Amino acid sequence: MIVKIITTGPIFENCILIFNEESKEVLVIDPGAEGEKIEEEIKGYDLKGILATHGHIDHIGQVGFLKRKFPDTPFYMNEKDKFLLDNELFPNFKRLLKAENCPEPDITLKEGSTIKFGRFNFYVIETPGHSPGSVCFYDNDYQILITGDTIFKGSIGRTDLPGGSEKDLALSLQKLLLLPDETQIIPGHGEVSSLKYEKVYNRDMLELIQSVKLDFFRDLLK
Amino acid sequence: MFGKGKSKRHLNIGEDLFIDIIPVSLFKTNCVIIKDLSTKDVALFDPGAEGELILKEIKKFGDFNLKYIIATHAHLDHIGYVGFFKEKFPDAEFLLHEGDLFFLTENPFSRFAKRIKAYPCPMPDKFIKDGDKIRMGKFEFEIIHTPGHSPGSVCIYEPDINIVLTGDTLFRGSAGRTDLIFGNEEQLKLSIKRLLSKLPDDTTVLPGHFDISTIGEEKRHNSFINKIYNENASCPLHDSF
Repeated sequence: MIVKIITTGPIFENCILIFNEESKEVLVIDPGAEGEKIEEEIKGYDLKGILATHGHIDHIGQVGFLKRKFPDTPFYMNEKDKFLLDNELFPNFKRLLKAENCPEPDITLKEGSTIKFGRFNFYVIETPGHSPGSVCFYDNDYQILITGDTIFKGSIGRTDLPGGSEKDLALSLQKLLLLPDETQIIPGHGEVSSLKYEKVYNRDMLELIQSVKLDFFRDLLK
Repeated sequence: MFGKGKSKRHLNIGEDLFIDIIPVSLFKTNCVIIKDLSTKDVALFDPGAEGELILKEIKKFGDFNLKYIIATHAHLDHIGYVGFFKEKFPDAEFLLHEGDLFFLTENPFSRFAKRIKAYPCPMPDKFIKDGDKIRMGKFEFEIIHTPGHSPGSVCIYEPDINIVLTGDTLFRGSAGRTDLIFGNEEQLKLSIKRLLSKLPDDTTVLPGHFDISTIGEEKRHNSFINKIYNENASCPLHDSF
């Protein structure tokens, strides 16, 4: 099994390819931009599934392209992000990313769904906040966490886009912190990291969790 | 050449051009106003904070027409008030290098933005790239792409008045940090080498923070530049033994 991260498009979105060398199969997570580059990378492998961590256009921009090339491959996404599929978020963003229209998901991902692929068993963790349908993929054996835009190295996702919520994000992050320290984090943009590192250096995350906790207690005291 | 005021530094070059440097906010981000006095066109660089103060400064020198808002890079302390100026002057063009678009769309410093009450930054009207020349009246600002501090950091050079705005790429005595998201020290070294090879020694350097300097001065006294050039050279003291 090989996990390969390719950085695509003008805003450096991490598209994650998981290759199963024995069965010659591949899984694509977050094909955001540069469809041809992704197609080139997976040449010789059978595309078994297209997964999206959330429905923002910089993460699903090339799902349409891949579905056109491989019509039988199912597209997996949380249906709570369906309303974002035709939202370009910023003026001209779609043209800039050269994104295509995204089809609706064939299979919806929910908390607890598992995606079995070769030796990996990805467990779906719902982490709303950055968008209502954001999910993370976690493999317990190899301790890999694919986070999308919920957490970056040293920073967290923004919550001011449609459906975003600071409170939800704080709860989601607390959920992720329950995972083992050694967990490798593959974020939607930027460098890979580990949960251990983030627990110490991700000031934005720690501060957000703290402020939401304080708000909760303030409400109790009212 | 530069009269050092209490917090502001003015530079009046002949009858044509006026330059004002305003250190804003806690970070002392140097917001630079360049005004062409004959056409009243204004180019505004790095409006990071304190929009009202910047506006007051521009107004002090009569009518104006805000033509460009240019960011040397898209870190929050350099673009925090672009939204403020775009709201007030919708015709002004906001220019940014494409490499830093990530900071606008993903806003990785969103917590920090809240704390300093930054305006949501609009998308750029146009992207600038290496070698672009932005015309404003008689003057021409040349874009030099200098990634390292961020992927889309640029320096802006005006050959006539021999001035370069270096943003957070080069400071007086040091260089920008590279430990923030998408920072890259190797790229920064290459960028600074390229910048030094392109510009004459007497070019005035207006960095994104702290004091002004010249390219020649930096070649002699900048610790980061010395480090770049001494990395491969052997220690001269050691050689004499």
